[in-house]
Amino acid sequence: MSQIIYPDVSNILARKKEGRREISRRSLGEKIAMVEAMRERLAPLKRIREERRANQKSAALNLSNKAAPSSS
Amino acid sequence: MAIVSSDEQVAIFAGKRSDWCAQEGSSRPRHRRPRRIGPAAILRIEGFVHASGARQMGMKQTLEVINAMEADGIIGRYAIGGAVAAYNYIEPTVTDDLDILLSFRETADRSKSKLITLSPLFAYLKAKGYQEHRKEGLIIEGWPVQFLPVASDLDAEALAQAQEVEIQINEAEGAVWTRILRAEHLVAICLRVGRPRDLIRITQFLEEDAVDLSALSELLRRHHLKEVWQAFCNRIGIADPCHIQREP
Repeated sequence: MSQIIYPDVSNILARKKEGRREISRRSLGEKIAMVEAMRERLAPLKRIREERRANQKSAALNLSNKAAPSSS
Repeated sequence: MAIVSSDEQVAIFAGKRSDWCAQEGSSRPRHRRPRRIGPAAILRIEGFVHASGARQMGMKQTLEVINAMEADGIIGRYAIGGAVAAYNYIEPTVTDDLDILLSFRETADRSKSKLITLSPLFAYLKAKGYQEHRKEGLIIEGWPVQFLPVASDLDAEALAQAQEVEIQINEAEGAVWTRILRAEHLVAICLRVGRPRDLIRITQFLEEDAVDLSALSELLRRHHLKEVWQAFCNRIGIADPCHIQREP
């Protein structure tokens, strides 16, 4: 039976941690600028997610309307 | 959009006179007569129109609108809370809205009824063209803003002790003044709210040594949050960094 040898990723994780710390040390203005840029990039994805949720909601509503007995 | 009256050229903020005076690219509340400036300068200073002619929107413009509300007496003291306030101390995460903790100035009517209503605030903003809501927030210059009136002693203390900061988002736009809640108050408020995302934010503050633990410990004791804090430490599996249990 062969043993799987996984690579050591501790260096990568340490660098990522240092990167996060570097971002933390930036000024508030720089962080807000970062987030505003990120929001712009994420806006299309967010719109797609909201559309998907709205579709799911209306589909669920249609199902429950069909399942409900008519009041007349 | 800024306009200029014919008899007196004063800064008029989004169509209504304001006691704000933008100076040297900064916008800080000044309770004195606005200086006389021309229409082009108004447009440039208020940041509504970019050199290219495109209208600017963003956090700076949002804060300028809120600062104008304070200067105009629509709201009392305010400070930024939530995720955006946390940016001042820890690694930023994307957020949907800007939380504004605010108080209202005592008026004759309100001191009688003691009723706090956001209606005048929304009416003021509607008159300036801000009436689109997204979830619980009102969109101001591209950011959904959630106005949260002070609702506890912890909120009141947090607002009173909020620190004034000047934010420069980019060099072209200049700086804007605002207030930010202190790290210890943000952690205590996160603990009180207690959603998973709030608990994650607390762990970020702890991991990044962004909070004064002795000040936090005192705050938790003063606002009866010791048990909630211990439950939080147990839940995420850490030894209590505030050593609350060891206190007499």
